[in-house]
Amino acid sequence: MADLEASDAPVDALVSGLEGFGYVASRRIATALYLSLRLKKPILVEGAAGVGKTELALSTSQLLGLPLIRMQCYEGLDESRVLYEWKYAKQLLYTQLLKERVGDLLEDAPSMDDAMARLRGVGDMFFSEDFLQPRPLLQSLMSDDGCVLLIDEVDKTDEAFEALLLETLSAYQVSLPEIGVIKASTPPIVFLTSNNIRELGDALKRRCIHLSIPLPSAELESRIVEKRLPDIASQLRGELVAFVQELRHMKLRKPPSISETVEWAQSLLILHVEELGVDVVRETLNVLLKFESDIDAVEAQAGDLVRRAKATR
Amino acid sequence: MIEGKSVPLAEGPLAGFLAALRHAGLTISPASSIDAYEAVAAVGYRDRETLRDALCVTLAKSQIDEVRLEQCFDRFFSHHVETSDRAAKPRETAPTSGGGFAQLMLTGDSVMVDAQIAKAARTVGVRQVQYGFQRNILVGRILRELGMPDWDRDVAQLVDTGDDEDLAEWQATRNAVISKVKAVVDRQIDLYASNAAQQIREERLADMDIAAIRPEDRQTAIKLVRKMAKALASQHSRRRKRARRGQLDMRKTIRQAMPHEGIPFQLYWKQKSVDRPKFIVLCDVSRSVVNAAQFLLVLMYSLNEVVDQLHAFAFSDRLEDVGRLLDGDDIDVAIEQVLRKVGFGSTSYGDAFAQFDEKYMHLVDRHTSVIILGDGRNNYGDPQLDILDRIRRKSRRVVWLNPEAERSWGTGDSEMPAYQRFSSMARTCGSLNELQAVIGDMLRAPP
Repeated sequence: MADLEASDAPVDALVSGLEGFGYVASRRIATALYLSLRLKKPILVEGAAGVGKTELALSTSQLLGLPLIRMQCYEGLDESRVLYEWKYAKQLLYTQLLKERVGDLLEDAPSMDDAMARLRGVGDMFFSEDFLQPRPLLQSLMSDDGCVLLIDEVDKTDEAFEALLLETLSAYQVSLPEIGVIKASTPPIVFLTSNNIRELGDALKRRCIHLSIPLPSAELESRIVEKRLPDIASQLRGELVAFVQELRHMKLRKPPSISETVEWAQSLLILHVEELGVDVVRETLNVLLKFESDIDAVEAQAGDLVRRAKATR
Repeated sequence: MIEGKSVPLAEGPLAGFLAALRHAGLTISPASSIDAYEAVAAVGYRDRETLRDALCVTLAKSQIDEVRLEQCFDRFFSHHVETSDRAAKPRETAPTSGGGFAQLMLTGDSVMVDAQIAKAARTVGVRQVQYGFQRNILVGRILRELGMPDWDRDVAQLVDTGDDEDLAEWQATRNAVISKVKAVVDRQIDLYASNAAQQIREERLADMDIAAIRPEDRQTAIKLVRKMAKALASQHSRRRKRARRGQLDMRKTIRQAMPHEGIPFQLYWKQKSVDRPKFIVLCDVSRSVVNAAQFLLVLMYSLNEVVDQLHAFAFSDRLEDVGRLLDGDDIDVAIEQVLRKVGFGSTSYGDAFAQFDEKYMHLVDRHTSVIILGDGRNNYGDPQLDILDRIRRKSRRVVWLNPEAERSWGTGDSEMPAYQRFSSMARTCGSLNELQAVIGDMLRAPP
């Protein structure tokens, strides 16, 4: 972070820094990341499944040398899962163990009021941080040196949860009724990802830097594959990227995204394929496409597609 | 705030850009404009790409916004520096009088000339432009600001002295300035006015009687309906579950209390998932209702995000399943096909109900909302009220939308009062706004 501030071209520095950890970022991604670090704002990443949303957070945490706290969202997620819980069992156990001590303490109390006063003197020990079980959101606020907090697939949660996030993300603090306000000494770097299952609320969007990652261009995708699989021959790499780009122009239920391209490249590498052929494509399509109907549609024109992929290369 | 650096005041190019974005239909909140200022302070104006990316990530809140912002950015920051021959040619002997700007113009410093024009444009408030027809007024004002009247006096002097060469040069320079100013004003109109006019037109369309929408406005109206559908969809895709107030979920509470010796530390309330509604739409496409039917179909089909199932039927004297036709990409072509198939006949609600009863009654269940769009003018045939009654009993509700005003229900051959009795709800839907309100209500609540 300090290097970034000093750097003459911080965005370029981020691009090359991320590349060092295997993430090929476009300029826009790097700019968004830079601004989020600079303005201390969460960054909301949108895009189809498998374009590298989660990966961005992972690489950033590596680049900045910060721990990553990951929170996977699902419908019905509530406060006790994301913020904190009391360790009920431990509280109960301690009550049992301390029963006699408490008895001794209160034995010679002359009146009920007096007993209450003595108890109060002991303090609210059962609702202190000793019995607090912090969950990801609270953990990220409590880590002193900062961390990267990844809130994955935030669109799967409901409105109530969004409201909770608003409070936390705008001031980097939460208030626990029993203890008080906990404020982050170093604000975490927050990534929220969304698959566009539902539209997020305006209030949440407004508090975030908004980054949408599109499917990559052929050139970028080729670089990503190269970065991930340095062993792959450049001819095969060019052909398979061209092929995938062709697929994205077709009307498929789920067009392949970057992660599928990389997986496919990996499979071809394992199978010792030297160049793209119709048979190989047919045999390995299931790595690339996830729906039966898509596979059928592509299989029917596989020859044509391969030929075109080779020509465009 | 970024320490040590003050954010520039709401002046300068960024303020103009934000205004242009608002006119282009983006919602820019004060909070995000502050973000944008801070972002620009962080990245600077030096690198165009970075500037665009920075503005994009701070101001655009969806992918559509992003595209619009990029277009707007290109238009706004396309400050081409013209180097016309005349302006480029320096001149040693300037005329004796003529004011600062005239001198400047003749020295051929085009950057300074542009700067002067821009300054004059700001002074006369060119950003407040709202309509295309303000163009000439603004051009005149800017020219006055630049000292045009003085200038013409000088020309008159030159004519008197009879210096033809100088005169010709003056004229040419003058024309060059005028065309430059015109270009500046045009760009402003392009950025600020076109969308304002568009917005006004859309608002007017939304309130207009559907039957009165002219064919040339139809494209705009369809776009508007899609926008409405999108707004409805984003409102209603958000609520999937809602807690039923005050009903304790005993089973869950006890289950969760198990680890604590059955002591219920935490109470759980019963939740009810709000299921996505199913719709059956029956559209009268006889001449009198066809306009409203088109917009209803467009609206319903744009709602696919929040609607679980949609069956659409069109009828005039016979009933036709039009769902498949409307599944295609081009809604205009689809509607034309629907109309060709069943449109423009003389309506018989009775026959249509009978056919629906015979072939499609099995589609109706208690989750289904049935929307009937029609004027209820049955040409004095059998209204088949018992079938409508059966539909209502089997379905969640029957909503009758009538494009006619309520006072004409029941006049002439209209069976509307009878149909109204056998529907759960009957509403007029004269304008697009009313249409949106009705559908919004239906998405919102169980009856």
